[in-house]
Amino acid sequence: MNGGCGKIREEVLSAYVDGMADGATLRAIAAHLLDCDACKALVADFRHQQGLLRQLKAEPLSAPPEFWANAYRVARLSKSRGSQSARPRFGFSWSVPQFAGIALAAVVGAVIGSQVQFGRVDITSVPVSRQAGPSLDVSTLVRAHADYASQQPLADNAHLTMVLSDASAQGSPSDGLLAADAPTLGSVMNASATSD
Amino acid sequence: MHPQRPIKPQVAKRAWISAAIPVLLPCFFLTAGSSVSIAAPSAPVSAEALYQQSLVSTQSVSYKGREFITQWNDDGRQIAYVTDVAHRAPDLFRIEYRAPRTMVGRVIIRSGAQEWTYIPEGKVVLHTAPPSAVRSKPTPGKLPLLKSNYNVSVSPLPERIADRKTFLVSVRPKDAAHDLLRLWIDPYTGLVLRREKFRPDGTLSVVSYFSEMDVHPTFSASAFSPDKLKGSGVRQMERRDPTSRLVPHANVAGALFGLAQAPPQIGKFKLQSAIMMGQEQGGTLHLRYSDGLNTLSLFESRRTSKGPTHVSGSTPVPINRNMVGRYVQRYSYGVLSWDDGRLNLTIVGDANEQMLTEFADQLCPLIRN
Amino acid sequence: MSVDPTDDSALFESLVARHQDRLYRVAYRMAGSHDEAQDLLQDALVEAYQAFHHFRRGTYFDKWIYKIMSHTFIDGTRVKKRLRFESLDDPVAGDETGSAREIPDSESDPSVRMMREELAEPVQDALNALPPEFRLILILADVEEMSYEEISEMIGCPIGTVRSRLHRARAQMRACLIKSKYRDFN
Repeated sequence: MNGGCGKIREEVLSAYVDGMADGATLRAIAAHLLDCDACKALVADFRHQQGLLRQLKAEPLSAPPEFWANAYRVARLSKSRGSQSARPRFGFSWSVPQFAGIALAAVVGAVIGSQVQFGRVDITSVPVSRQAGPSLDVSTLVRAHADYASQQPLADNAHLTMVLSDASAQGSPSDGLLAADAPTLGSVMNASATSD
Repeated sequence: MHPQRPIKPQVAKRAWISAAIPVLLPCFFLTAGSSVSIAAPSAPVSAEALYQQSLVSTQSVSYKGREFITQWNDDGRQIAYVTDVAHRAPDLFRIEYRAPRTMVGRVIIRSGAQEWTYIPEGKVVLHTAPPSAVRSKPTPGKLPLLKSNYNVSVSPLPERIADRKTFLVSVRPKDAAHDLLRLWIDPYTGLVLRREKFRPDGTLSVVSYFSEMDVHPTFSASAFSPDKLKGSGVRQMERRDPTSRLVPHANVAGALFGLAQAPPQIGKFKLQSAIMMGQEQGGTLHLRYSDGLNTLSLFESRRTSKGPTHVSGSTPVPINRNMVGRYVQRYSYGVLSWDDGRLNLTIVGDANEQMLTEFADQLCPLIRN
Repeated sequence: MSVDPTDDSALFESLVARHQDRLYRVAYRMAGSHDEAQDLLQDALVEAYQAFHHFRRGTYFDKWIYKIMSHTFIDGTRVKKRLRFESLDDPVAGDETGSAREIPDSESDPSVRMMREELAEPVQDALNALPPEFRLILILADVEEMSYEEISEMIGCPIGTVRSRLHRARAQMRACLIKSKYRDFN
């Protein structure tokens, strides 16, 4: 980007910090750094930054005492409800010989059926969904409540109008409530950012 | 700024409203039995009179002013806003943020059940509308219910807020676990010019007040027009609320294919009405409760998810011995979600985590097996 | 590969318990706050527990669960990315009203507090400013000191991609620290 002299790619300098290069390359870089202040400074910055990040490990961080017990309880409850999906979410760790053997069958099987039959799903292609059902998101519920509250005696309607508007904007665009051809608020925001 | 004068209802066509003001005001009595005329500027007014006046004001009094709102959340965060508010009775609002800096320039125009929000940092106008204009009529007063749950008193001496005379009405819960509300009400218009809400432990949770107030101002023809929010490079977006229809009282228990829980009362809150949001198959039943002052909503839908309703930023909360819910504060409302195996349930309302957990505990034994 | 369900939860919990401090630390660095870290970890544990019958005994449990948490994190940020403007419910820290996102720190040990204020907070702020894929790779490589091979397996991309992404993450982090005038960077 804008650190070194340009004779050695910055990506290579970054890998050099981790020792991730062959011996000849490492020696060549080391020699270059003796004469090049710009690259030397960049490598020093990367190392210093790495040191700062490593120090973060020392910061004592822990969950509140009740977190783990609650988390296990929620996980057990979730599992006891049973998954609605027929597909397992995360596959096995295949070793190479196993993969080679199965791959052949997979080529045939993939033409006929889904990957479900082999019990393996590419982890990155399965979206993590927290709720499978059509339940409304919290922003929509809060909005419905605020609308009810605004019809009550002594309601602070100016403030409730602010809440209604904000809750509407915060609602998830994926809950099917947008007009079919409407852009999502996020896509509009991103497009605005790039066009400025 | 207009000098104070008796109000003139602007939109009410019904005879009883136009006749009610001069009739109602002197006719209500405190439980102690004193009766006063509101026309006398320095004579004390009754809490009931102020309450009834405020019921009318929302439908008939137009105003514009500058409002300051400060909120202290349960987690210690303080949030403050300044807005310019314009209201043309009965149901038009225009609100423009003046603070905080990050929200300056945001404008909301609300007309009945729909609103347009201009978000300057995204150059977008978000229009939120119901798919069909279903909206229940404004709730009539609930004075008996209010007085069954709260002690209401009025300070005899007036105070000036936004250069208008007001009387302080204190609404104290009979149950010490609820919030206390103080309202400064303009006796001529029924407008609440200042309000303070206190938690049961005595800490302030919300303060809002008008620093400027202009009653019955003249508005330009386009003051509330959403077209004024549109401009070059501004994108339009639509968001629809779910379809909703009132569920008659007799049908509530049978809603959601007979799975619905519909307690007539949750704590001090009494069931007022029910709405079905969305289609019956995957719909959400919205049960609406009131204690005369504050409101509570219970949302129920058939459970199809794998676990309790997840809400970002929520904390797990044990309920009913062996269940786990999620609690979070949204705006000034407490929100508690859980599922009981058949239904996803969410309570939203003017209640803290402890109260909501107690309500959830009360609801759980009602599960039908 | 199926295991008696009654054994599952005890085994799962004992495996998680061995790594729980590190799991929380990584979740915190990814998510940027305690609230979000607990959300992330909760979701990851739910996913991991449901998929536990697929975990091969004898392989590394920590790598398996970090992989799940990484994907949960990335997928979670994809949803949140859509809404990025001020909310009435939660304005950012630093505005003139003095509101702040986090609960005030009540840590009493001065050395821990100093470390947090002088180092951890500015560096975490710079991390939080990075896109999630860059943040993740910096945490795995430079905080948790994982090798390129381990990272490649965890994220599910070739080592060459790990190398180039790590470089871009470092360059962006460096720019953030310079911009924030963090000491020693000029």
